[in-house]
Parts: sequence; structure tokens; C-alpha cells
Amino acid sequence: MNFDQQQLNRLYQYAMTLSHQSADAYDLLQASLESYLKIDQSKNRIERPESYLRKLIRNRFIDQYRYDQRWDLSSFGEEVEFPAAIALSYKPLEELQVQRDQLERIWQKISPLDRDILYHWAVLGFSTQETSDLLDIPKGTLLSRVHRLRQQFKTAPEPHGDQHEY
Amino acid sequence: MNINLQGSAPLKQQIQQEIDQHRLSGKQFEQLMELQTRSASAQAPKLLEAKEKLTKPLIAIAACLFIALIATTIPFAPSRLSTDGETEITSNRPHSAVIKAISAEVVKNHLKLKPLDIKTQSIDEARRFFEHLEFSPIYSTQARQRFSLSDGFLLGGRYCSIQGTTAAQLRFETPDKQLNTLYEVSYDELKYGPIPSLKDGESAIELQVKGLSVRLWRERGLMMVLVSP
Repeated sequence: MNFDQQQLNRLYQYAMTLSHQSADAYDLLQASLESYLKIDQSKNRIERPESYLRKLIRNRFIDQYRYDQRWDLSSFGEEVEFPAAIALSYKPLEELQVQRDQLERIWQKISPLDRDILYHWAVLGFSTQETSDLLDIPKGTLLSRVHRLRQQFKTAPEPHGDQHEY
Repeated sequence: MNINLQGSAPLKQQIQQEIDQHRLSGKQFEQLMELQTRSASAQAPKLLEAKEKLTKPLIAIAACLFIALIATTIPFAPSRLSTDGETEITSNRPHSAVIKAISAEVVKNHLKLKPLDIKTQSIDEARRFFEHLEFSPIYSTQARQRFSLSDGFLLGGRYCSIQGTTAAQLRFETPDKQLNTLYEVSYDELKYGPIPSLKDGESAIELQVKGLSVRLWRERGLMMVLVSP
């Protein structure tokens, strides 16, 4: 089975979400696609190729950037305590209204893991439980991150202010 | 990045727009499609192999009947190995495209006889030399026991690559002046497919390429490829 243009673009967008650099995103996609194509299809039946390739991209990205400590592994695998009042879904994000330039500034600033979470929510339409299972992040960690993301979007400075800070 | 001064919108929608703006260029798309097309051509023999496995029992019965018939009519029919028309590779069994590619590559390197990076008769010294590999070359007990390649026959080694992965090439000369080349590379099942482990009682993959014998096996986490006359 070959990936068509639409699928390749979606996968590129995912790689771009993680790496945030167009050249890195293309390298990620190409290398992951090469790995995928080397799998002996006569012996290994892959039920959802696009999802599988997305996972290859993610694993490769984590491996690649682990050395640079750009992947926040410290909070990645551990359950994080969070306030009892925290929402148990993406609802706090659903309610948010932001301006485009505000998003662009925060998008550059947040970690790849946070962008990954937002991708699974906004683009793939996953629930917090699905995201937690798929990304192998403890639910508490995920919800805590969602909570912090909401805070960031809510408290982000106005576009005409201190832009040099970023 | 463009600043959009339009009003607020739901965060989800803004994220979707942010992500959706990134597209592959025409050239990048073509490269990825070409990659897939090349792979599809390489996979075709494997699919054929799998298909053959399904019909194997029926073919085996038919073959037995056929052989019985031939044996009664032609007592001394010459035995023949299967032949790959494109690469002139003969083998005692069907092999994947990657095995054939590796065999063709190592034989080509063996015949070139490029100068050695290190000349030594000591495998330990050779091991110390290959410090840029992601593995440490080993003294192959299987090569010694099964293919009579004694450590004392070592001439030296050089860096090389197998299917794009950096590998160690060790050259041996037997007392009858026959040159043997042993290639060692980190074993990656995903890349090379299943390779037999002699320690587990399996037989090495054997092919004949350009008049040379190529044997592949797995040993202590490495893939070993031996080219000999």
C-alpha cells in the first residue's frame, strides 16, 4: 500500500508539529517512511499504516532529540499530582478563544510534547484517555499539562507588548 | 510567520489552521513517491515468496510425483541450483531482495581488494582499530569451526559499508593462498530480515555470486557475511 499525497501531507504536518523545522520534519518523515517500507509486508500485516507511520515518526523524533534534552522525559513517564479541581477532559481548552498571532507565539514556545498533545486533541480529535493511551503518558501528567497549557493561553501577553521576550 | 490580525477564534480551530499551512513541496512529494515505488518493486519477490508458501504442500506433492516419474525414466539427471537472472546469483533456496543485494555488494568489495586500513594478524588489535563502529567486531568462532577460517590467517581490516550501514571488513589468507573476506555489521532484523543463527543449529544462508561463495549468519548480535572462493 502506498501513501497518497493527502496522507503524506498529514504525516509531514505531524512531523512539523514535533520538530517545528521544515527541513527536520521532512527528514523525519523520509527516514520513518524508509523504515516502514523495509518491514516485510508478507509477514507483518499493518492494520492502520498511517497511524503506524505516525508512531515511527514520533519514536524517531524522541530518539533524535533525547540527546538535546528537548523532549521532557522527566515528566513524561511519571504520574504527576494535580489539583482536585482540575478538569478531567480537554474541556478547558475547548472553551478558549485565542488570536492567531497569540497562538503562533505560544506554539513556538511550548515543548514538542505539548504540541504533540494539542495535535492529538485538535487534529485527530482524541479524548484525553485516548491521547494518554496512544502517547503512553499517565493520565495525570496529561491533564496537568492540559491545565498548564490553558494557563499559558489565558495569560499570554497581548501582541503589541513585550514581543522580544520570545 | 504571518501575523493575522483578525479576531479571536476557538483554540482548536487556530491550531488546525496553524498545522494545516504546512505542505510538502512538489519535489519532496515526488521523492517520497519514488521511495515507495522503489520499495514496492523490491517487496514483490517477498510477496511471491509468501504466496509460494501457501501453495507449498500442493507443490510438494506434485514435485514428489514428478521426481518419482523422472527417477524412473532418467537415472542421472544433473542437479541444478536456482539462478537469479539479473544478478547472476545462484542459491540453494529462494532469498529476499536484501540478501541478494548484500551478496552482490560484498562480492563486489571482495573483488576490488582495496588497501587495508590496518594490517595485523591480531584480532584484538583489529578490534581496537574499529573504534568508530557502533559495535565491536568479534572473533567469529563459527567462521573458525564451520568454515575453517583460523584467526591466524588474518591479514587486516578496513571500514566498509553494507547497505549503507558502516561495517568492518576482515581479510584472511588461508595457507593455500586463498583470500577470504569476513564482513561484520550490527544485525538489524527490520533491515536485513531473518538471518539464521548457527549456534541454534540453523544452517547459514549460502549463495554463489560471480563464482564466489557467500555465507550469511548471525552471531552474538552481529550479521556475519563471509566471501570465499
